[in-house]
Amino acid sequence: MQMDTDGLIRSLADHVEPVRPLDRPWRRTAVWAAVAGLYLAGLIAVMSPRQDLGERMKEPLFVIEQAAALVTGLAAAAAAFATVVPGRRRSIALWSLAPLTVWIATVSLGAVREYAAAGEVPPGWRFDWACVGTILAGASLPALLMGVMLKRGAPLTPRLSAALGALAAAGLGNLGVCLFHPHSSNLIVLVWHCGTVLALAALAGAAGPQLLRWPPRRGALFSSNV
Amino acid sequence: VNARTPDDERLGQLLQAAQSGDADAYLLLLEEITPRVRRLILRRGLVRPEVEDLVQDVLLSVHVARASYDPGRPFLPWLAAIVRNRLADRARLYARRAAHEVLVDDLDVTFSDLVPNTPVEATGSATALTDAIRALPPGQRTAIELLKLNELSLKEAAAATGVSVGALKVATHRAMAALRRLLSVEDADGH
Repeated sequence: MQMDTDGLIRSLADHVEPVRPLDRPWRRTAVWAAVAGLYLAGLIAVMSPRQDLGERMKEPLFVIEQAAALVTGLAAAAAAFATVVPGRRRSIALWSLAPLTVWIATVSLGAVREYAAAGEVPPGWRFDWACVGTILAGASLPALLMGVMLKRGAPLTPRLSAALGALAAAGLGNLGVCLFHPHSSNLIVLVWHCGTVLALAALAGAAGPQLLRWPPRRGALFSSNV
Repeated sequence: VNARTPDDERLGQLLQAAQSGDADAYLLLLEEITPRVRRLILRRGLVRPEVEDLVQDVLLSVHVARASYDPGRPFLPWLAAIVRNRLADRARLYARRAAHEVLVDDLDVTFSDLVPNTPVEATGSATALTDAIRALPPGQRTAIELLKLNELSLKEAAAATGVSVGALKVATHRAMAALRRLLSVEDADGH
């Protein structure tokens, strides 16, 4: 039988335990990015940085592309953390759209230039599953950490929060991958890197209500989500 | 935007104390916000049992999400966001339930009877109803059995029979009309 509201209030007050208030979204982003950065640095060290990295870093388009991917990841993370705080504006989610657009636009521009120079689509671009695997490996720990951190907040917009969280993790994972996994053309990056990142964000968004939800009534009283 | 009223500041301080584990402050806070939450929900036109159910949902959500309150920000927008979210969840739940319901005409064979129902009569009516269902054409009988007796949704019944949702609705409507007719004839016969 359902408890009356006064009884529920007394019960909640009786069970209240100290909780650590969540840090502000930008501070949580900094913590998340630091841990994810350490993981990716370790991954790059284990896999060895790509041979042509020094040379590629002299290309403005490559630098802009990587910077945009980094900012996309950070902006998406900050937006994801903001969406689990009641009272924050949802328009914050738009933060990540500008760097995401820049990232995809620079990769697309590179692909168009390559096509214009070669006059044909680069061979073998269709089957670069290694990119998907390495992005998944790079995004795995940041995604796991993101999930744990998001679950400490309020699941107000589970689809949006999960999609932004996955965009952040996959965006940063992609950046790490680009530093140790060489690819032969920008078309590969466009299809397999950008495509994988967007697909992961879409999948996480679809699974959002299952990943982030209010605990059931019976469990809410004794929830350790605090 | 972040201008805070004294009331808002006081409630924020109570929640801040509750975050530190102060049960008295938490009790006071919950007692103060409950009527406000109830008023917010009542404005949506919900009826009493639903309102209390939703008030309790909001209180539990406040409890679960209390770590997400930033003492440097206003309290009431934080609370209002949770109320809006739980109202939206409830609206989605109703929409899902409504999608599985079949709208049919009310059966007035029970409540408009001049003679009140008795246990004996209820048993007799159940038998009469079973007989009346058996007397229905096969399509209508299947629709009633699946949708009313087995409580399948329209989609599930359509998948089970291979009949379209529209056809099932029509069959159900006709079956209900036929049952009403059959049962009222039996009533007139002295049952």
